[in-house]
Amino acid sequence: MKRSFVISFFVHLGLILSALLVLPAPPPFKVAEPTPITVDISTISDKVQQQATTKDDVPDVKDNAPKESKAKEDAPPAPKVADKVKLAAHEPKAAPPEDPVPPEPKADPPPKLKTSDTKALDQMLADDAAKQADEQKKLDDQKKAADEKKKAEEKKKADDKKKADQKKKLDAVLADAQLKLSKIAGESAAPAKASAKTGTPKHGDKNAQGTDAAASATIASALVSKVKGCFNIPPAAREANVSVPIHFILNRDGSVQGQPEEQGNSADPVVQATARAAISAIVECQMYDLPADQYDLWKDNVLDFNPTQLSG
Amino acid sequence: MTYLFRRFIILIIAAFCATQAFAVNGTVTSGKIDPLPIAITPFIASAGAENDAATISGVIANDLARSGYFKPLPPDSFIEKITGFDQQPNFGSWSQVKAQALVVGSVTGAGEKVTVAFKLYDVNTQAFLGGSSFTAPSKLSRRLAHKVADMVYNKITGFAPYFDTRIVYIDESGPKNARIKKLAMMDQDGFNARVVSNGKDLLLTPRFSPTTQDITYASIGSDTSRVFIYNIDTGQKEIVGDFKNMSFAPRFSPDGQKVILSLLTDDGRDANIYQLDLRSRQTQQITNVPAINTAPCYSPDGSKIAFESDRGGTQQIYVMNSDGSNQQRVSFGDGRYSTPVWSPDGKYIAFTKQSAGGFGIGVMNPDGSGERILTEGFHNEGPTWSPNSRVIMFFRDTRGDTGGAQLWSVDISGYNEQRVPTSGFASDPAWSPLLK
Repeated sequence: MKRSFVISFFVHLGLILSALLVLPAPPPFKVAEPTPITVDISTISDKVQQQATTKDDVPDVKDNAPKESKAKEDAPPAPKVADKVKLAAHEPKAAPPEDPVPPEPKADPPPKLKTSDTKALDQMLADDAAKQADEQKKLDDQKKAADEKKKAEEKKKADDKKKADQKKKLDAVLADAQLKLSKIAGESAAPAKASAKTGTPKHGDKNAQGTDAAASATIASALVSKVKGCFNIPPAAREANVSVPIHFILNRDGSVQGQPEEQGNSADPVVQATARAAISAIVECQMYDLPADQYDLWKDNVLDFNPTQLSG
Repeated sequence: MTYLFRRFIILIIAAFCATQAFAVNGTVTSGKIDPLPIAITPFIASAGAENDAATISGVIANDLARSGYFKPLPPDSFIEKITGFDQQPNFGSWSQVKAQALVVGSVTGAGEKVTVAFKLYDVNTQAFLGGSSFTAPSKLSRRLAHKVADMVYNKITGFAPYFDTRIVYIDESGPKNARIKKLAMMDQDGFNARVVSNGKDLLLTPRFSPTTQDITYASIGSDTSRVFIYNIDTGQKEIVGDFKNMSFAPRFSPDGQKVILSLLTDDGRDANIYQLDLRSRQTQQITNVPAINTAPCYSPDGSKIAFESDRGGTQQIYVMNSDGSNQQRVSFGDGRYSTPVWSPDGKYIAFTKQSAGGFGIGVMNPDGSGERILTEGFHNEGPTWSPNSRVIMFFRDTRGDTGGAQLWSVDISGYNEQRVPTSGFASDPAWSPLLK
């Protein structure tokens, strides 16, 4: 069974990789047909588009996909989907959900611990108090037998002094017990708090994929903050309620890899104008200064451009 | 087999989810609202087309600048000189002069025809955004430039174009107490102005057909009042209504098949709204209220009519169904409201408002809510919409014996107020639909 599973896995993995490799390239950048005039019109040929997308000072480059022009200049090639699959399969953060997460010792305190420990300490305190009382009784008897002639005032003073000493001892025992109790209580409450945690993720929280949700949120916020400084909102988008998601990949040095892409292919001129301005802003703002050790978190990004506010 | 297929699908889904897990997701809800810096390079001219080329570059830059959404960069700041239409721009040099969009083009003269070609690039992404070429008789070279500007405007702003349009208006000359008023027309940027009437009769309220280059206007003669239709391409003029009582404010229906207007009653004290069928030439009364009901304007879908009426004591704007039913007052602010004009997209009604502050031009929603005054002053009146519903043109009169009416435009945001150049005084503008 295990062997057949392994064989099956590799056979299918091979099938997927081969299928992905032979998949057709993404459709080329489409240019809307121009509005006709009453007189003769001829659209600029595709050659123009090819030229427009070639690298500066390299007129003979034959690639005609605009989104690849920049990537070829100074960035490593974008990872293919197959590579991503491989990465994901070996990424420890993307462990299969069925793998049990090893519980932290503090995460599952026995709920009865606090109650039982408190009872034990209470019993201990009661025993100590009884012993002290017996010793005091014996001392009193000895003193009565040895010195019956002493004055009642002196006897009373001695009794008071010994009672004070006893109280001190009892206080010390109580303080010690209290310390133990608070220690126990502290250890049991902390994991209970963590397990009941909800709402906005904090640093260290893990999401279902194993990524740091709080770090992702911080990175998203940093990206949005920078990009909006370069985003010149198209006039029509200031009034229309458009939502234009743009996907882009960043290199480790913070540069944009290839050309950002609109997710979707709307013919609406407002969406098209917003997508153009958004892609332009992402490219203009590039060299994003993000934590290098969290590159996996900001390598692959989607920003949704929804300019409902007039200005930021 | 089913088992294997399931595993295959699960594997694909798992791989997809794993790749998606890395994406950072965020939402950009704000940004800048600056005019876009754009470089319009001098168009490359073939032999003999140098003058046209210079004109065309200038017209494009002027159109885009006047819209308020672009900042054309001065050509003397350009580092790179484009010498060939197929030359690959050095985007670094355009980025250096802070251009975010780049237009390159060529003008080729061949006999009596001229061909204009252009390409639009995004400088940051080096992406080719669009391009086209147009051929027309040489005398229409300015129109070709407007076409180019329209395509650039549409690509960058997302709004429908409006530069390749015309304005008809009343040209005013002579002393203030004895003005001679003539029907005139020009391109929307003030060029190619020409007078098309002799000034003998009093011409009022010219209005464009929403679908053709026909205009309708009222002509008040010494003993008669007529409604004309005039085709500005052919120069053909036709009387469609000849009324014994004074007629005012004719305006086309959205389909161009009817004209709606107001006629004075026999006693001359009131006016009501009538519909004139252009095919049968039959009139049909729409309102029957003892008041001055005038300045009717259809909604773009033809289902409703906005008009002004003083039935409540002061001039206010009312909206009714196109058959005259359900007449409702929609203006309730302080002051008097007049000249309602429905926007081509149906979202707003533009109006003139007279209040203590003078005369203002404003817009409101068709139900009267959301009133905004766009401009205010001594005397502003007669709003007309650009075909894309983004700009309102109106006339502004100035005080004193030497004062007179001039044409102005304002964005519906209330910004970018601009004077429309005319050689003399001008009033009562009407904006054409986009030329074809």
